Amino acid sequence: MINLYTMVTLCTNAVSREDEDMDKETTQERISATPEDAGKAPVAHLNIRDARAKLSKLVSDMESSQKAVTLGRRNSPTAVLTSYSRFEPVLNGDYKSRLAFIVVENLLGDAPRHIRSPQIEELTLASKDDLLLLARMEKLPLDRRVESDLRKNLGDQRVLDRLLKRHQIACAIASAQKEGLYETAEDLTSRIDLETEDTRATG
Amino acid sequence: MASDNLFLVARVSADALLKNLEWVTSTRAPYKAVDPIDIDDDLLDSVFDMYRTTYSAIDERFNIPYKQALFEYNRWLLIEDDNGNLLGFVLIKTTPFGFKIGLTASDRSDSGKKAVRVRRGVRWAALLRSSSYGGQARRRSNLS
Repeated sequence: MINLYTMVTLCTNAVSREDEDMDKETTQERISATPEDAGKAPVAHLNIRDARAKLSKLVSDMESSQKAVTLGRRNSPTAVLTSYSRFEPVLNGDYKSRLAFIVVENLLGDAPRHIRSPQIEELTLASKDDLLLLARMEKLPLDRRVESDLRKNLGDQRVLDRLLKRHQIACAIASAQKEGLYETAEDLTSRIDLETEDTRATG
Repeated sequence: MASDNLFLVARVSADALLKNLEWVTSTRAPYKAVDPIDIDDDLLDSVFDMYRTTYSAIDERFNIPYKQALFEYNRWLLIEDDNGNLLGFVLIKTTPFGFKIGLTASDRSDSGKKAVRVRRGVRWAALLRSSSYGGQARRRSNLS
């Protein structure tokens, strides 16, 4: 089994320092003010006693949010409770699945499963060399020079194009979630009922 | 929920929807599994325009600003006329507690308004399948 720590270290060490010195413009249409919006939420910590008292709710939360909670005594984490569906590629996948998982964790963060899953499936079909190159990206969007260098080395550029498109979606969703816009829009949907009644009365 | 890794799109007529809604909470036809990034840009623009027009009229302050954000919803019912023109839509999302109706809008034509009425039936189908979550959502909507 591949050493997950090695993969994570590979990814986190791979950020080129050149990135910060170079031109800030990007070739990707910027959707969100902060690309971090597509990142992962901070991991909460619970002591064992609290976790035991609400284990059932915690497990339900894993289904809906797919986020992780650390467990332990006092403030010292000793275990992690997390979503099986999210981490299934790490637990049961082969080498390429685990690399794909790392890419998606880094770049799509807490995006919904229907955005993350097809990306993981697609990446597992990419070549190992391309996957290793993509696993070195810590964040998107890339500046022009880094993207240009990456494209020169990629065997199949469509893999990056499609990853960038999915990243835009992840950012747009994360941004709307952060501002509570889905809840508001869904509340407004209930008011459209009244319009429909009006429509029915006059139509 | 087992199928929340799927993004499903159904393109149907209003009449067909009104006749049979059993499939709405399933993954079967007329749903087709689609990769969200393969959705045609023109179609996404049309859905987003309808969303903006309808929801801005109710409350302009809180509109979802980016069309890509609509992919939060992973079941799309697109209601079309005989020529394939979009008359309206209902966007639904799956949750661990059931199905939640998210956004709905029409092109404001008579046919479009009729299409949006379908949502009432869709809501029933979702409620029947997921009484717990749907019930809460319904109570909340009655309060608004």
